[in-house]
Amino acid sequence: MRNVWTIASREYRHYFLSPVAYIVAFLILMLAGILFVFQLKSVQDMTYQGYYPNPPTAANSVIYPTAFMMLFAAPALTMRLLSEEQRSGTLELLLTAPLKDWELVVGKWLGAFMYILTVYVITLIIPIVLNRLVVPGIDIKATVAGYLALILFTAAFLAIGTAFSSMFNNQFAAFFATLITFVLLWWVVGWPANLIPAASGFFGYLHAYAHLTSMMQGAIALKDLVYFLSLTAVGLFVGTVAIEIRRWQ
Amino acid sequence: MAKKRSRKNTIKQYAYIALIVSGLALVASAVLGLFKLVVFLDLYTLPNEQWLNNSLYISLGLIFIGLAVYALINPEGVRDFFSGRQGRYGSNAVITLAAFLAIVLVVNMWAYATPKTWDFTEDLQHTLAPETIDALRMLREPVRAIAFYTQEPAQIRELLENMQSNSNGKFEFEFVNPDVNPTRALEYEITSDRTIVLVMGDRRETITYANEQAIVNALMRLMNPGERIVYFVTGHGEHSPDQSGETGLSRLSTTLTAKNYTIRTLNLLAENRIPGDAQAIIIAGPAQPLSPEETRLIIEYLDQGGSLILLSESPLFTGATDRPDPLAAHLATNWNIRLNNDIVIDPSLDQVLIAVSASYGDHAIVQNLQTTNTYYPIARSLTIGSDSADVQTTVLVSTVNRAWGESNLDEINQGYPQFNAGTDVAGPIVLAAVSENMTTGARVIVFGDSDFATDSIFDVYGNGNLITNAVDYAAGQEDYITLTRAERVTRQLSDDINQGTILMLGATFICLIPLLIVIGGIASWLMRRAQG
Amino acid sequence: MIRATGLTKDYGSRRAIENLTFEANQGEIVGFLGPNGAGKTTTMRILTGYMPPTYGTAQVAGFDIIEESMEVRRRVGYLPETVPLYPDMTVYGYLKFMADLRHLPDPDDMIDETLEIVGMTERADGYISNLSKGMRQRVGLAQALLHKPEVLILDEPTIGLDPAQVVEVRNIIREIGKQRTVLLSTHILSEAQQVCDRVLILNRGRIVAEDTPENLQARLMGAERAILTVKGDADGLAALLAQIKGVKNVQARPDGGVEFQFAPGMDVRPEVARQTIQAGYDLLELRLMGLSLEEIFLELTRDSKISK
Repeated sequence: MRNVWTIASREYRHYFLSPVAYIVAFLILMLAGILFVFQLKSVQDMTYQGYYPNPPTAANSVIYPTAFMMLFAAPALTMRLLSEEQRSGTLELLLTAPLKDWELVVGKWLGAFMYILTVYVITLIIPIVLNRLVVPGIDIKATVAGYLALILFTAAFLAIGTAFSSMFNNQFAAFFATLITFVLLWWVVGWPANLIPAASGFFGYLHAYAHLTSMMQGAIALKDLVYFLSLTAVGLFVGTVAIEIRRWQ
Repeated sequence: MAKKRSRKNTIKQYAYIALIVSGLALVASAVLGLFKLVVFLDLYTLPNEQWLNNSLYISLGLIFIGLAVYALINPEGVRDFFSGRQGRYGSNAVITLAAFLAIVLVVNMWAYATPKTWDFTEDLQHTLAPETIDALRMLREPVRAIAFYTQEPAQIRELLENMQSNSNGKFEFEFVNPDVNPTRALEYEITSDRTIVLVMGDRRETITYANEQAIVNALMRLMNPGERIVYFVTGHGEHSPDQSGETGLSRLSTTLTAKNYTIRTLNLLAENRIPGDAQAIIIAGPAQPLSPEETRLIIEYLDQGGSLILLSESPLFTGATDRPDPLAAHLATNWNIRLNNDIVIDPSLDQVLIAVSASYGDHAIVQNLQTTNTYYPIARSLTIGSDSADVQTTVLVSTVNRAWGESNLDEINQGYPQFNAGTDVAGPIVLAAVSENMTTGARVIVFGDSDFATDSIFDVYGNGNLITNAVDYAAGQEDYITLTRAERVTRQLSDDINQGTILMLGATFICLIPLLIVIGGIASWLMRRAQG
Repeated sequence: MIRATGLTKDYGSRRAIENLTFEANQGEIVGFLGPNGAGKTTTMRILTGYMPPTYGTAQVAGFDIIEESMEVRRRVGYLPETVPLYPDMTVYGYLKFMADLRHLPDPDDMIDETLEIVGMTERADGYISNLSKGMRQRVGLAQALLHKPEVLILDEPTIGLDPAQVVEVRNIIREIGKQRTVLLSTHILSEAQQVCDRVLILNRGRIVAEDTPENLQARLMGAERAILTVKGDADGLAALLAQIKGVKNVQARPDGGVEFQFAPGMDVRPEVARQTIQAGYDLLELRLMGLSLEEIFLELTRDSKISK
C-alpha cells in the first residue's frame, strides 16, 4: 500500500503540471457553473411569474454534467498514465523497482482519481451556495448520494482508462479505445436493452447511465455499488494483467 | 522465507477440495439439466419450476466458483494442465483473468438478484411505507405481479423491486411488453397499457393506476377474497352495463369484472326486493324518476347498511321536470345531498355545458385523482346540507367558482346562459358527493351526471378511475389502507434572490472560478518555463 | 553475486539469448561486451526482474529471479540504457521518489551520500529537464546506487558522455566494484579492458568467450606477433625473415616496418635480431605487439569457434 501511495502522490503532483488537467478542470467547472446559473435564472424567472417550479438540484447542475464531461475527460486524463512511462523509458525503472505490478497500476489510477476528486471538491461550492438559495435548504443526503454516485462512476471510468493506457504504447490509441468503451457503456448498451426483451436485464445492467442516474436520485442500490466497484476492479485487474503481458512480450 | 513458502504450500494442498466441489456441482448440473429438459419437453409437469431453475443456476455457479477458487489458489496447477513451459506466462495471465472475471460475474449476479436499496433522500422517496411492508409481511402465499408496460418506467420497477426485497421471497414480479408478447396480455385480459396483474394462486387483481397504495390495496384484496356483487338498476332508461357504444357502460363493467366484481342487473319493479348479496346498487342515469315503491325498497336496503350509487341526470335534460322524484327527496332529507333542477354551465371550456373538475375533496374515492381532471357533459348541481348526527357528507368533485347551475333552460337553448343570483345556484358547483351513515355503515354516492361513466368518455382522463373508485367505495372495497409516509418536502427558491444575485453568481461561477483555473494553469506553465 | 544458468529468451520465434550460463562474484566487475543486438540488454532485463526468461533461471544476490523477484529487485541497482528520468522533477525529488519506492529508512541521508558519490550535490534542487546529458547519466547512476545495492547492473553506463565524464563515471564504478558485484555492458572495448575484472563476450545471444581481459588476450594469441623496424630501406628484409625457422606470416608494413608472427614459447626474436644485423640492416626496434581486445572481439565474433 505504501508503494501505491508513492506512485499515486507522484502522479497527483504531476497533474498540476499538465495542461490537460487544467483544461479538464476548467471545462468541468465552467459547464457546471453555466448550468447552475442558467437553471437558477429560469427557475427564478418562473418564480417571479408566480409558478413555483422545483429549484435546481446538485444532481442537475453539477453531478450529471460533470459525469457527462468525464466521458471525455477521463480518457484524456488516463491516456498518458502508463503509455508515457513506456515512451520515456521510466517504465523500465518502475518494473525493476521492488514494486508489484498491481501497486503500479493502482497507484497510477489513484493519482488520477485523487486529482479529479480535487476538482470535485471545488464543485462542492455549488451545492453549498445552492443550500443557501433554497428554502428550506437542499436535500443534503440526496446530494451526498449524488456525489457518491459521481465518485464511483469516476473511479470505474478512470480504471478503464488506466487499463487501456497500460495496454497501448500510443496515447491516442489509449484515448480512443477508452472513449469508445465509455460510449458503449453510456449509450449503446441501452439500445439492445429496449430491443431484445429477453436480454434486457443483462444489457440494462451493463448500462452505466442507468446506474448513475438512479443513484443520483438518492436511491443507492446494492447492484449499483457492485456494478461500479466491479468495473473499477476489472479495469485495474486488466491493467495489471496488461503490464504482466508487457513483461514477457 | 522458508516459513512463508511452507504456508503457501499448505493452502495449495487443499486446492483440490475446490476441484471436488466443482466436480460435484458438474454432476448435479448434469442431473438437473436433464430434469430441466424433461420438464421443458412437457414429459413431466412440475407444480413449481422455480426451485429447479434456482438449483440449476446454483450448481452451474458452483462449477465456476470451484474452478475459480482452484485457479486462484493454485494457478501453476492450472497452467501445467493447459500447457508446457512455453507460453506459461500467457496462460497464467489468461487463467487468472478468467478466474477473476468469473468471480466478478458471480458477485454481480448475486447483486442483481438482491434488490437492496438504501434511500438517501430526506423525505424517503424511495422507501416503502410501513403499511406496505406490513402487508408484504402478512403474505402467506406467493404473489406474482405481472406488469404490462410497453415502456418500462423506472419508478415502477424500483417500487416492485423494493416490494420484492421486503417480502421474504413471497412477492415476485416481471415486466411484460404487451406489444411484444400479446399472448400474455390476452391471457391476463389486459385491455390497456400500464396495467399490473397480481396473481395469487388462481386469484387475480388488476391494477390500472399503479402506485404503491394501489398495489398494496390490491394485495390486501387478494388476501381477503370475498364475493363482490353489484347490481345495476334497470327499468327507467338507465345506461346498461351490458351495452357497448356511446351510452353503454361496458367499459365500466369489464373493468369491474377484472377487479373480481360480479355484475348483475336488477329490475326493482319485477323483483320487488333487493337481493341480500348486493354489495352496492347502481342507478346509472335514469330517464324517469324511480317510483315511491322502488324508493321504499332502496330506503330499506340503505337502512340495513347497503350502498347506493346514483348517477343522476338533470330533469331539465331528461324532460322529467313535472314528475316528483321521491328518491331525490329522500337523499335531500336523510343524506344531506340535494339534487338541483338545473344544468351546470362551466366556462372553463369553450363548450360551457361540459363541467370540469376543478378541485377534489379529501376522500378515498378521489385520492388518486388529485392531479387528473374529470369531465361531466350536461351535469346538474348538488347542494350539500350540514352534517346530521349520523350522516357525514363529503364533497367529492367541484367546479371552478365561475361556474353556476342554470335553472332556465331557455337561456341555454338560446345560447346565452347568464347567472341570475336569485334562481341559479352559484359556483363552485358540487358535481359529486358521498354520504356515509356512521351508525349503519350505509354509503350513498351521488353524481350530478351519468354520461361521464359511459363508454364514450370512460377513458378520458380520470373519468373511468373515478367511477371505479366510487364502486369500490360503495362495495366496501375502497383502499383498506392509506399510506402514511414522510411528508414530501417542498423546496422553493428563496425570495431573496433577485437579478442581482443571479448576476453575482454568474460572475462567480462562469467567470471567476474558471478564470482562477486558467490562471493556475498559466502560472504553473510559466513557473516551469522560468526554471527551464 | 550473480549466477545464471541456461538463460534463454525467445521473442516470438526469434531467440534473443541462448543458454547463457555465467557468474559474477562479490567485489568483481564483470563486463558484457558485444555488438548491438547481441543480447546484452535482454540479459540485464532478465537479471533485474523486468522480464522472465523463457528457459533457465538465475540467482541474483542469493535469490531466484523468477520465484523471488521482489527480493532480487530490492537488492539490485539498475541503470537501463535509456536513463529513466522524470524531467518534471528535481534531482532531489526524483531520488526521494525512488527512496520511497525502496522504503529506505533515512532517505535524506542516503540521497545526500549518493549525490556526493556522483558529484551532483550542487544540483540537487535543479529540475532534471535542465540537466546536460552527462548529468542526467549521473542522476540515473545515483538512482541505481541509492539503496547501496549488493548487485549493480549498468547498461551502457558511459554512452553519450564526454571523455572527462566517462573517466569520472568509470572511476565511480571501479570504486563501487571493490565491495559489490557490478555487471556492466558496453561496446567500448577499452572500457571493458580498463574497468572490468572479467569480460564476457556476447554474440548473437551466446557467450563466445569469458575471462579476464589479460587471459583473454593471451588465450587468443595462438601466435605472438612482433614488429621489426630498421633504419633506411627495408627491401628484402621480409624475404630474409621468412627464411628464419619459426617465423610465420611475414608482412611488410607501409611505414617501412615488417610484421611477423611466431608460435608462443618459441621466441624467435634473438635469432631475428641476429640475422637482421648480420644482413647489414640497422636495427631500430624489435617489439612484441599484443592483440587488443578490439581485435580479439572481432576475431571472436567473426567465427564463434572459441568458447570456454
